Amino acid sequence: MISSILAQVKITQADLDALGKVEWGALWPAWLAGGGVLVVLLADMVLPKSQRWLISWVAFVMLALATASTLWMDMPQNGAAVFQNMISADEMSRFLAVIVLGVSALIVLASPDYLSRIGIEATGEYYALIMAAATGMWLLTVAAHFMVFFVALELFSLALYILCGFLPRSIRSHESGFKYFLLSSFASAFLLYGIALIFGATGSTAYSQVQQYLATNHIAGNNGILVLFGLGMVTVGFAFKISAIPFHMWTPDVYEGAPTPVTALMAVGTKTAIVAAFLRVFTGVFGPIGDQWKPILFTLAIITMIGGNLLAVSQQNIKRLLAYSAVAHAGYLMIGLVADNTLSRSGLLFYLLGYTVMTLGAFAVVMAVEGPQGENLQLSDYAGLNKRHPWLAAVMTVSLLSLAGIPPTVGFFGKAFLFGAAIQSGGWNIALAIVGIVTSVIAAFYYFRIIVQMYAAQPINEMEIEPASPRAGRPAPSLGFVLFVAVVATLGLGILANFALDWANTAASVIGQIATTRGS
Amino acid sequence: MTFSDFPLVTITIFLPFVAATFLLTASKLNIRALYWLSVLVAVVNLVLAFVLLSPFLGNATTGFKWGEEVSWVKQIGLRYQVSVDSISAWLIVLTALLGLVAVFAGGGVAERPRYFWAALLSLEGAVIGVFASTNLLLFYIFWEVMLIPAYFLISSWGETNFRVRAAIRFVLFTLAGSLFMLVGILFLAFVTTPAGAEFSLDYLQVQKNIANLSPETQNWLFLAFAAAFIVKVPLLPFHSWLPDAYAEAPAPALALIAGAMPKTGAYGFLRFGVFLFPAAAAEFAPWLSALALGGFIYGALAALGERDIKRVLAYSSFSHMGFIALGIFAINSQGVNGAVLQMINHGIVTPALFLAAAALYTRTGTNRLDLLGGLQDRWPRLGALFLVLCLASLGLPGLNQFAGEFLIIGGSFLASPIYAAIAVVGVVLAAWYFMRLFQGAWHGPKPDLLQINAGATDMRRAEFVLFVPLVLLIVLLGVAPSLVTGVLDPTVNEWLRQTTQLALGR
Repeated sequence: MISSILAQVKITQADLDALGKVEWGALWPAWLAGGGVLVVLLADMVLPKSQRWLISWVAFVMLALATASTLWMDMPQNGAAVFQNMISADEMSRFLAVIVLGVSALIVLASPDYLSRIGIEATGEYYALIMAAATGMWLLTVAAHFMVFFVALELFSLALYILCGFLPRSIRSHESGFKYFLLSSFASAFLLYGIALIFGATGSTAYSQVQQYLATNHIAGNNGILVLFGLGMVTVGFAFKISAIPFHMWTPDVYEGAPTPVTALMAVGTKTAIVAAFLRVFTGVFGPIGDQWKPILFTLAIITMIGGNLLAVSQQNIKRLLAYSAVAHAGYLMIGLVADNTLSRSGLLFYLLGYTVMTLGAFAVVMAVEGPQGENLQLSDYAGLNKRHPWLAAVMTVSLLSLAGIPPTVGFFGKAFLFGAAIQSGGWNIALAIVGIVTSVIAAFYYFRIIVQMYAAQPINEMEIEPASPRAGRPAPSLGFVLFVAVVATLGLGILANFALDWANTAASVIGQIATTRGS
Repeated sequence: MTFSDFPLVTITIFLPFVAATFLLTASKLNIRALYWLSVLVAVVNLVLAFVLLSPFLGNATTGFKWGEEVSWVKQIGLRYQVSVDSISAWLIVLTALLGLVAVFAGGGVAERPRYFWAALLSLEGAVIGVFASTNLLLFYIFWEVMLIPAYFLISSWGETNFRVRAAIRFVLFTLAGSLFMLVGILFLAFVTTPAGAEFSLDYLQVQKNIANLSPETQNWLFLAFAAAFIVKVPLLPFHSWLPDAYAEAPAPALALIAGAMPKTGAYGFLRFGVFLFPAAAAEFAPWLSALALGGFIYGALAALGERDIKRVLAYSSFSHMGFIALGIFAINSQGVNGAVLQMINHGIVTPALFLAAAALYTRTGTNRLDLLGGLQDRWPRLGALFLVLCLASLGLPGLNQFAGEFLIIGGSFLASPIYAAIAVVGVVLAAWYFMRLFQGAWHGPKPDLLQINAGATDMRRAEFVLFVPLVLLIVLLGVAPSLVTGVLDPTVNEWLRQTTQLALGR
């Protein structure tokens, strides 16, 4: 059997040439972000205590450089994979580096204010872990091989386990870290077993070769059973990681307990990385057997959209509410996978970009409002925010309107593209668009509930809400910058949606190419 | 004069938005200066609206005039396309007028006045955008943008503690309807575009493409669009957001919320219902007419049963919108002409009534009809104003609503004599509740004097400046409705002729 598989894999002279060549230049973002981990840890050891504040700037500069390095990273001419077909260096890698690393840089920028308020001393490890997570997330999105995929997944998951439990005196934070660790390892095990089964069936863990096998054999023969089991296990791992219902149980607890910047990183970065990686895996690698996984994701998408939005309605804690909102958005994102046409892929990447900036905006406001002992996280604490901090209320409003999909924000266009893609693909997929529409109305209810609190409601206890010191009155300049970037991007990417969609389209076109470049 | 090169429609839409942004950020400037700036912007916009209308005056110009076009998100057929024909030009003039009325009357708002004027101006801009869009998705975008300022106007400046619930209900009802329209629009983009052509949601292009769809598809699409309009107008079973929203919203905001915004629903039924899906519209017209008629009668009965002046006016407004919808679904020249004329008439009288009620409220401190009475000799001028407005609203010949009602009943009679006969009952009911409203407040036994602000004078100068032009307009349009219909008629007939042809030519 193995010999027959080997016979299928034709080794050309070009492949042999490639073996000797290592395209270091294609991984600039990873060198800078991953190397930044070491730089930050070194800085943590070397710098005297009074200079520790520099660490966050070192981390920010490294991540910003990593984001900017997409401008000079090397791209192979044909858009093929590098590092012996382990890594895909293409437009999509560049697009996702900007999202994942850019948002990590912004979160680093927003953190010092939060950390000093909470009273966390070990800032060096914190930033190092954030950068490790960012590196892992980006590597996940560029993986062209299931082994890289899994290692990258574990890299950022391990960093996040620690980050979730980072608050020294908070039981909730410890619970969050532990819960995430247990459940996430369980899901990783599923994923790994699925990968193993697929390897057993197809004889390879490289995306291109698995895809090639599936394109010729589909699920025929005995191996077909293995492929189906493998596909099922991988889907479970995927559904867990993007917190699709019914694999979402961990999300609200983990999001609530984790330090808010870490929650933001998980809501934004992790989700983007996982969805993008599975865009490559499902629509690319498993594309030939789309009729097998599409019904599963179709069902998951519908349950997730309905359940996530309904569960969010009754939440009183803003972080839990945003967690359920993240669950609901996972449902919308899955539309992009199921519809599976050109618009759905570019629309999915566009939605990820939009989801990133609007969610970052909302979490940045939560960070600014949150008190030193994790107070001010209830919806009622947002009562009258407009009077105390009009700008924070304005940023929150724009972010929430965008999450609710009200034009002309980026959230509206994201939904329009995804629902449009579902309608374009026709048939039962139109049901996805209709469920998406109906649940958007539910979503509008709970997003508007926060807006109501900020603008129309009176604080329950005026005295208690008054800021204790003048400093508590306004967010630090760095956090202010993050808020500014988020709100400008939320509005700007909406008004200039055509440019962003063109960019996403260029990025998404590589999915189509996977099938053609290695096909013959 | 190459006036047409000038992006006049765009300026008319975005000038209020620019002014609103300025108001939101200008925290250091003198508040009175900002007020007069807002009024100035509203005046300029009214002038611009008249300029937009000017090509249609005095000749039988039909079709779209002016207009700008910029490529936007071509992947889903969205282009920035704005243009006006005489129907939308009249409605833009109405909106600009109401924007001016709203901002002028909103000068006395105590709480966060800058934001209030900004919300009014952006609502005005969004409504003008709705009337001017000739791209379906752009229409949808302005349609949703309308929600945001309207929501804040109700929830932040509403009059009782119930305002938040009223505002949320308003938003959810409207969103629930309009999102179906979004599905319909996206469907049109991907399904009606002929093979090989670029996705297009250009109004005229879509109008041509629709004739190629199967009747069932057309029906479903029409219903998806109707879902949005039926909530916004609103027609009978979808009106429950309206009384609360109108009762809560402050009177200056009601100039736009009750005066201009329901017109977008009626306009939508006309342009994106009757003119876009002629076959489906004809099929559903009897049902929608029945809902419209039901709303007309039910609204009138509910207005009879209310004791709160604002709620009487809210139900009256709802009732009259049903009457306007009846004219549209007659789908003939008289009915549609009458409906558009009535949109303008209703748009002048309803805000005037709400503002007059607010003027009364500032003097008496109550909106309850059973607590008021016999105020005629105390404030005779305000009473006279009420009388004129009530008479106009119940359709007295010589005042503006008569001509519109006459045309609508005529059009409705041509479509279905039974509906016309029932509609007449509604007109009688309107006379009943308006007389009840007027008598309840101004005649009859005098109320407990403790309720009343004894120092209050009769109409002040600012109130004369506000109401006299409106009353003059009411009389002018009552005496010479052909000022409007003469301009509308060629356009309406041309659209009806074209669309019937398209529907039959399939």
